[in-house]
Amino acid sequence: MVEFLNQFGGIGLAFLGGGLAAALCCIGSARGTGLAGEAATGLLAEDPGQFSKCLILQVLPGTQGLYGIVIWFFTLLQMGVFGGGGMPNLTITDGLKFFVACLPMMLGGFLSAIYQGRVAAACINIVAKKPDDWAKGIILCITVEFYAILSLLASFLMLLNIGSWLS
Amino acid sequence: MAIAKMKKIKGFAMQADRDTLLRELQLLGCLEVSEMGDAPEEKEWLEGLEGSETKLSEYRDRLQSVSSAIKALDKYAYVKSAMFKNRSEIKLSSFFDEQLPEKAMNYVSEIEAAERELLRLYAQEDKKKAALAFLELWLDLDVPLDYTDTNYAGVYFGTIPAGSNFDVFHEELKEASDRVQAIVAGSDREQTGVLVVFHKEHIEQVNSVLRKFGFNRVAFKDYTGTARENHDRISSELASIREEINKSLERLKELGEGREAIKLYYDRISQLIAIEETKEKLIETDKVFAFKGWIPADRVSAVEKVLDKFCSAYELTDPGKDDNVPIKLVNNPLTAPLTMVTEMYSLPSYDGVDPNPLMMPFFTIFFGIMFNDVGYGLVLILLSLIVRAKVKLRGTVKYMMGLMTLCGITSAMVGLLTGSFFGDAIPTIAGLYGKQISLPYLFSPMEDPLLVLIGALIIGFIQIIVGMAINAYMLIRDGKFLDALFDVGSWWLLFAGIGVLAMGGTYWVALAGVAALVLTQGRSKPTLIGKIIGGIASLYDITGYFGDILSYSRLMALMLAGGVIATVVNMLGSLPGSIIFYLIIFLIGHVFNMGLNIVGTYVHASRLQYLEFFGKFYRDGGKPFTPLSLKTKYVDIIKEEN
Repeated sequence: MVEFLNQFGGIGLAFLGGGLAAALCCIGSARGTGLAGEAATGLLAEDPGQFSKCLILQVLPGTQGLYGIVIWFFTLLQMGVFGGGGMPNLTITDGLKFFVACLPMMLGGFLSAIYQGRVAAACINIVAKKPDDWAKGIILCITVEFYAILSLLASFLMLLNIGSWLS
Repeated sequence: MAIAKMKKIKGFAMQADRDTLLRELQLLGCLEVSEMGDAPEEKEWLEGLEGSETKLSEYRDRLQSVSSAIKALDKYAYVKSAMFKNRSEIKLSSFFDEQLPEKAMNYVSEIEAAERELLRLYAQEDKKKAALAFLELWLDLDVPLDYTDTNYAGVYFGTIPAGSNFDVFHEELKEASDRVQAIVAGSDREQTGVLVVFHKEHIEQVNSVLRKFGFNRVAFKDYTGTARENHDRISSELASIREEINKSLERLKELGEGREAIKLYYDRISQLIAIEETKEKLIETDKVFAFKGWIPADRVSAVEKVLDKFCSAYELTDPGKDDNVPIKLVNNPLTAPLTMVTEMYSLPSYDGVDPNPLMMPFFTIFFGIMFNDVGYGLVLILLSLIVRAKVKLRGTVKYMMGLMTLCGITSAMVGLLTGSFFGDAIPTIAGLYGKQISLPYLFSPMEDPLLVLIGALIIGFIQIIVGMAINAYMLIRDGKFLDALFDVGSWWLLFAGIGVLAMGGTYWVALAGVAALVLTQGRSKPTLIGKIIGGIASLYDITGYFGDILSYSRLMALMLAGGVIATVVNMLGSLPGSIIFYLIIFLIGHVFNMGLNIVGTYVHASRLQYLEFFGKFYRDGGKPFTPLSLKTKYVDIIKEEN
């Protein structure tokens, strides 16, 4: 058991980190875009002409999923998966470093996407009542988005320098 | 390049000339008439005067019916139009063609009638369909549906629920009475149609069995003959109704020929409504009316020329302090597209500055940094140029296309610096053919992210400094030199001090900045203690500036995210090693990435203007200049020289 952990635990943890960053961000984005989409159906049933505005509001919480994929990709890159040199060799400590580096994106992306989705859903009201002012709703959504960007930066900068910290 | 100077006009003219005068002003399109009645002398005039009678509601009703006729045509006589189609152009004289109203209204009433007829036919069709469905159960019964009770025999048509067994039902009936007969007419999933004939002597016994089985009587009012006969009759009626529906639809299609006339008339009524709405803002007596409004200073002579043709008296003044002056932004083609960004926020107030030229370089460069890709940039440029070549644009779409061109150029330029062409498409394609090519680049967000991050923060710092400089300029322009020195100068001193400190220099400059802030920032407070506390509290704003600058880190993060996704797309596409598969993935992936990125990038670039830049100097709240003018939806009017 201990031997198994020593041999595969590190790489497992690293994959877990990258995978969760992608998965949680995607779940958050799915939930966020879902919330906005549901809200939009109510309006579109009345006024199908507002489709493009609703669509833009709906895709706004979708970016977190992309950020998650960026971190996932970068984790794999830093692990050396794409190097073609076979399975990378990571100690458990190394694996944990990867996992922790992915943490900001995991949580930040997951939660911010949901909250952004709720703002986007509420902004459908603006489209319904004051279609000309809907762009202000976008600004409200983007305010939430910034924290996903900060999470992305935090994870990214940790991953970037991880090479020099690996044992 | 600025906010247009406005002149305020107040005047009188003859009631008899009113309509012609307003029409001429509408053609000129540079006078905004504002509501009378807020100044004291206007209130006095209003005493005892009734508001002028206008045809506004009549015109609005007509516009309503014209627009529903257009909708009906779009629904029943749909003509697919090209995606980018120019509006048809029309000469001013034919726009006000005298025969047009009658011709258009004829079409409108015919369309209305045809649509009403169509709806009536649809309702009938539904009714007939329901009747057919109703008869379905009884089709196999060869007893006429108008078969009724005789002196001794009772006749019930009715249904029992599908769950009840007919044989058991029949058995119980037989037990209850020896003179009863039941026949199954037909059954569907929910019920069985049954005809029960019985002797009236046993009506009680029969009824109790019927109740037990949930027998539900059906009345065939207005039917004669068997169900089959009725079914055939209604079917043929339905066929003829459908024929009529087709005829109506054909008729509506034919009426589609009136589309142009109706649309033209729609625009025509819109102009009349604009004039009537203007009339409501005037004060009128039997002979004279009073008006006031705004004219851009450079168009004053044109308006004067029109007014002088009529018997009128007017005075022109500069806007006063309390006037809510309408805002018109005057820009060159390079800065005009930014109006789109400005309008999304709020127009500047009359004593503010036009932000378009100020943010033009920042906005486009920010967009370029976040979008950084030669390929994507070229796509933006091409798309916008194609649309601009094909269609005469106006309004927001025109600004949008202009902005697309500008941002495409900056994106391609930044893309050149980072060496990205659809991500790493060129090295990837070369790799598919077993070759190695790499584009030259100056820096890459993947390899030196810290450099890019610091660069982004420095650019942000520059924008913030520029914003503060604009604020200082506005304060000095308004004669508030000390305010400029205290509010902007103190902060710059502090920034400079931090810079000197960071280079390992003396801390005295920074300290001087802090002292300047503490001494000046509380100056508006009434008490000495208030002044001191206000001054010290202002130091807390340093976190605000810190946050503002950090906010520009998004430039680097989005630059990275877009680039990485593009790389992932290329990598996915190249996995199977076939160029065809690669091209398919390339197309889908990059369209997707571009689409998402355009929205995100545009909004983030705008946000940096709104919060970080405008926050430093912008005075908003201007209302747009909306002159009485020709505003059309379907046609373009060409003004002839007369």
